[in-house]
Amino acid sequence: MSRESNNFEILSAYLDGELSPKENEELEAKIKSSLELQKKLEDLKKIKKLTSDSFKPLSPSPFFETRLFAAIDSKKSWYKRILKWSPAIGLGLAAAILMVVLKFSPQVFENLIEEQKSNIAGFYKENLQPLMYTADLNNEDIFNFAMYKKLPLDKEDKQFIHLGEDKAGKEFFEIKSETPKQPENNFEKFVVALELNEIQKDQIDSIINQYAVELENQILVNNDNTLALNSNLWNYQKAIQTDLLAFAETSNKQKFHKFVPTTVSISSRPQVVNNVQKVRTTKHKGYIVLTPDSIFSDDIDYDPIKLQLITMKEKEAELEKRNQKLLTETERLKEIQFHIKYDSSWKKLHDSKSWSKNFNITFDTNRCKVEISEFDFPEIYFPDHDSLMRAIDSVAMNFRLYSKFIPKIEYFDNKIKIEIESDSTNSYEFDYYEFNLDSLVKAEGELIDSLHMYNWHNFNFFSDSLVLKSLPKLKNYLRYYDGAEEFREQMKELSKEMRKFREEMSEWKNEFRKEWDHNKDEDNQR
Amino acid sequence: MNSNSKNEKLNQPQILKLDDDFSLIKRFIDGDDSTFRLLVQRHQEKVRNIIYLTLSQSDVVDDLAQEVFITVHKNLKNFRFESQFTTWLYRITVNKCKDYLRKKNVRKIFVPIKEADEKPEYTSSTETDDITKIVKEAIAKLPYKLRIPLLLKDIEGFSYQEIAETINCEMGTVKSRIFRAREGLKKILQPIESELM
Repeated sequence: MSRESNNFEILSAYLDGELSPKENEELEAKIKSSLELQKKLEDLKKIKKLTSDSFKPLSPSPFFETRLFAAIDSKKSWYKRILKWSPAIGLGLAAAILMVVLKFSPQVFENLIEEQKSNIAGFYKENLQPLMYTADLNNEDIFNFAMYKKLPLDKEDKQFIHLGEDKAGKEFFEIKSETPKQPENNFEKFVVALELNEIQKDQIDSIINQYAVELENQILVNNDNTLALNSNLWNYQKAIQTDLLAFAETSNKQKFHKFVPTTVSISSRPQVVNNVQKVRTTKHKGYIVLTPDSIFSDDIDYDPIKLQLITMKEKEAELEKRNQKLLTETERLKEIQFHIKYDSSWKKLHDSKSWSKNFNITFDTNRCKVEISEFDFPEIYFPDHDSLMRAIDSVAMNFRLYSKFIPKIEYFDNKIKIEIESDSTNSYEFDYYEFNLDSLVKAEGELIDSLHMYNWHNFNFFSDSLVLKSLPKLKNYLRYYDGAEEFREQMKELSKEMRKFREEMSEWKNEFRKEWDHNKDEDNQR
Repeated sequence: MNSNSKNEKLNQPQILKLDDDFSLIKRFIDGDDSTFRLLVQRHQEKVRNIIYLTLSQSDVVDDLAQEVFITVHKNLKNFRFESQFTTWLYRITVNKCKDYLRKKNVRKIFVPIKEADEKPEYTSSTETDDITKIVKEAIAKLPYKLRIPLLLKDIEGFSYQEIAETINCEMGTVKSRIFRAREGLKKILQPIESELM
């Protein structure tokens, strides 16, 4: 680069204000003394001005920002997409891991489910107490359990449990509602019917008391509406029934055959006692546990009260104190209110089909029936029990008929009156002309929607046990209620009349039109 | 007294405003994506103008500016705070323009001469009498390496230092190129010098 060119370059930088003060000073001195530099500076200034003036800033682009961020979003979308699908990728990975795990140890889930089941089972099994405390069972209750296979679940006898076996011999149990009724005093009637003397009365009392203690741990309940039935309960029922009848036969054979066919004999009492003993001595931890949201079978090792009693015996010094404590505890236990609400939560249980395949629950407004298809019931062999059971069932039925008051039925022109002595809840009047289904149902102690009743009658789909209970009476009376036939006849008549009226109207209309046309023609002619 | 207080003021550490470029970048790095929009709003016009000046074409300005900011967005998390954000931004802008021109020149080899020999839009014949357009035409004829420093200086008002950083060369080179650009421009405009000056 020539010296001249270098000077001009500095001149250009001078013009741009890029020289140091010292350089500025030196250059300015040179410019003053050089016309060439002065001219060059002028040229450069003109060029600089031309350049500076040549461009005006671009007008802003209103959509630049929008486009830019859309582009940025689309640029990073590949990884955004991955992020968006990351849960799915995670799930996919988890599924792959699960597949691998399950391939090599397929029992992982089963173990997990079992663990959860045992947790739930543990929750419901907590605080289970003998039914004796909650329902305050007495001799009458035990006797009814033996004869009619039913036990109350609460003190007010609002609900009871009913054991049974179907035709195929499979066990089931039902929980039913029962309106508070006057005590039937079946046990007392049984004692009176047999004309037992004082010693025999004591004996039968003692037998029942023994069973009461035995039954204590067979049915457990708690505040979480859990009901646990021991698998041996069905055997206990048979045992108590057989034992009581065998005792009755031994005590007073003549009176016994007032309600048992003479062909039936339960005379081999030692054998019965022997087998009953087997029922008592065989310990079964297997319980069927019915909870508001599940039904399962599980082992429950329940014997706390007995253990406590043994401890008390061993420590006689503390007896009084402990006894007091036990009494308080017993009182507290008696306070437990037990009531199964099978109109709500158990309904869900039925709908969800979540119960074990071993149990089948049928359900309506009056009962909850649990059929047990597969369960390890302890088998105690009672000799000739099958034939005996049929006789015993008839005994139970006969005894009930024998002991029950026969209702007094009076027929009137417009009503029927059924009166049961000393039982106003089961006595009622039924007026043919002022039919009120609810009153009929009320007679059974329960209020059922009358529409349901009517639907049930017509379409036979509402198979509610409470309704079925009313069926025999309803069948007799519903003919007075069903006016459908008469109504249909009336409608037919009305329909005929309407058709006739329509025809007449049509004729009249035609005549009117003819006349109108005729008049019109005449007017035109004029 | 006055001079003392002035010195005190100068000696005080510079307090960064919450919305200066560095603060915005830090917030962006910390995960606040919204600050990028602020950076774009602040610098988009400068970037667009540099592209326009560099390429003398307005139709590609927005596309290239978009590419510039996408590149910035992609790399901003790796920004090292060693230079001004603008220096980095303008360097990216100039490089994008260079890339564009390089691709365009490659394309020129393969397209018919008439199409490839496109003139800058401001050189339309209807506007030849307009001094501004004549000057623009003259600037457009300058070689790229001279044109960019000249325009960054005279239009955008960059310092030689900033230009050197932007186009990644020595300050002396910038000084020389700007002078040479002016010399070249004078030669191009010489035929109509009397009208212009």
